[in-house]
Amino acid sequence: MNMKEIEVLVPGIYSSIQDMGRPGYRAFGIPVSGAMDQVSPALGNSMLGNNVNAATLEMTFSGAKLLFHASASLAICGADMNPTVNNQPIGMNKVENVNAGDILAFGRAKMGCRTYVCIKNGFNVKKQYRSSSTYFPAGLGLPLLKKGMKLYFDDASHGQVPSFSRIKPPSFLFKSTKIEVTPGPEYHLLGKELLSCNFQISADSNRMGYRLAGPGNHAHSESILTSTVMPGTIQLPPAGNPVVLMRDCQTTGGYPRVLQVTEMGINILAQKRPGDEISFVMV
Amino acid sequence: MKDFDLTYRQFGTAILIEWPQIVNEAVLQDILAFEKMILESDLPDMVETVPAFASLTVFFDHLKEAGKVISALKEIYPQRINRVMAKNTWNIPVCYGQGFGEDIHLVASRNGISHQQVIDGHCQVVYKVHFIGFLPGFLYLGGLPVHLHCPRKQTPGLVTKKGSVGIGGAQTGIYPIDSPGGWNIIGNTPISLFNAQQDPPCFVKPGDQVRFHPITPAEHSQISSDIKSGQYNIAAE
Repeated sequence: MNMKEIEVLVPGIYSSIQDMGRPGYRAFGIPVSGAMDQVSPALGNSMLGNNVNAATLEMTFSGAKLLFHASASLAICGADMNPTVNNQPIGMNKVENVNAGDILAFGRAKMGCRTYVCIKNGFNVKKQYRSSSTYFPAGLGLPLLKKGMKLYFDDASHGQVPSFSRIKPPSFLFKSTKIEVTPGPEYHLLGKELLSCNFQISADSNRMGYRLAGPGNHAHSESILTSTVMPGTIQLPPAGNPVVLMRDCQTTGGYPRVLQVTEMGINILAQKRPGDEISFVMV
Repeated sequence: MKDFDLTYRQFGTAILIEWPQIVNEAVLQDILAFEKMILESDLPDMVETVPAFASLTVFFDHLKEAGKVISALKEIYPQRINRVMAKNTWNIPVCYGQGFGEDIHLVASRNGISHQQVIDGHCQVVYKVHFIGFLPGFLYLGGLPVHLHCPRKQTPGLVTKKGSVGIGGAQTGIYPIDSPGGWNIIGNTPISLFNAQQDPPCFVKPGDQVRFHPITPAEHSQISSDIKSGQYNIAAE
C-alpha cells in the first residue's frame, strides 16, 4: 500500500476525522466519540467495500475544499452540501472517482447538518486507543481540519471502485422530528413531563451535547451522586433546560438522567441544527 | 463480605448497578470487588465497566435480553471475594498560591482560615480515589476536610489550566487537561494525570490513594523540565 495525499484548501466548520468511536476507555474518563450520525458513514463505507469502522471525514453545517494529489474512490453521505468536483456537481450516496489534481468542494448543508466523506480504504490516521476519531480536548486523533493540513489515504492497489447505482438513504434520518427514548435512571424526576413538550435545539449545541429550549418550567433542586452518563443521556440541570449528551460527552455527571435517547435517535439528532424542533416519544 | 442491597436496571445499552447512595470506603471496595469479578466473567458482548461513587455501569455491544444479563450479574455478585487489592499511595507535588492558585485566598477567607492553613489542611489528608470521570484522567477524590469546602464559582472560567488543583464544594481534584472549569483553584501540579501516549493513559487507579505535598515555584519548574526529559518518576509509597 502506498500513502496518498489530500490537501485541505478550506477546512469548513468543525471538520474532523471520525470512525465508529473509542469504546473501552470510559473508565479513564475518555469519551466514546465517533461519527455523530453513524448511519451515513456506515452507508458510504459499505458502498466502497470498507470496514464499517473505516475513518471518514465529518463536516458540520458547511463543508471543506480538498485538493486530491492522487486518484481516489469516494462516497459522500449525510446532509447534502452540494458537492462538486472541479466546479461540476457530483452525486451523493454513490461511488464517485476523482483524479490527481481534482478539487472536491462543498457548500452549506441544504437539509440536515452533517456530511461524511468516505474514501476507499478509509483515511489513514494513527489509531489511539483503538480509534482514529478526533477528540481534540485531550489531543486524541488529528486536530480539527485547518487550511494547509494534509490528510492521507491508502492507495487501493487494484484501482478505483466501479460506480454502482445510487443508494437511497433513509429519509427519516432527516425528516423525523420524533426522537425515541427509554426511561433514564432518574425518570421519576420530571422525565414524564418532558414527553409532552416540543423542544427547540439551541445555538449552544455541539459534539458534546445539545441544549434544548422549550415551554414549561422544569426547574428543580435535585442532584445525584456523580454516576455514569453516555451518548443519548438527557440530563436535567436545576434550571430546567434539558441537555442531550452527544458522542463527545463526558463519562460521568451529577445531574438527574431523566431520559435516554436510542441509538437511532442520536443519529437523527446528529442531523438536526439549532432552531429545529423535536419532541420525545417513549419506545 | 457484607452483601449490599443492590438495584439493577437497563440504562441505554448498559446495565446500571446501584449501591445505597453514600460515599464511603466499604461501598468503594465492594464496587471494585464486583467489577473485578464481572471483568473476569464471560458475559457475552460485554465491552467495559465504569465505576462511580455508588454505582457500576456494565456496557454491552448489544443488549437484547437485559433480564437475562441482570440475572447473570446477580449470580456473579455473591461470588466476589474480599481480595486485598494492590493499591498505591501517590505523592503529588503541588505549588500552592504564588501565581499557581489564584483562588487560594477565597477558600481561606470563606472558611475564616489563613492561606497557610488551607495548604496544611489540603496536605494533611490521604485521599481515596473513587473513580475517574468528567474529563480524561480526572480523579474523583474522597476525604476533603470540611474546613476547606468552598462552593463552585457562579460563572465557570473559560480555561482552567492542566495541572490546576481545585476545590469545588466538598470535593478536591486535579484538572488533567486544559478545560473550562468552575472550581476554586488553589495550586498546580506539574504531574500529568492523563498521558495520551500511554496505554493505560492514567497511572492512578480507583482504590488508590493520593497525598499532596507543597513545593516551591522553582521545584515546580524543575519537576516540569525533568518530566519533559523523562527523568522524573512519581513516587508511590
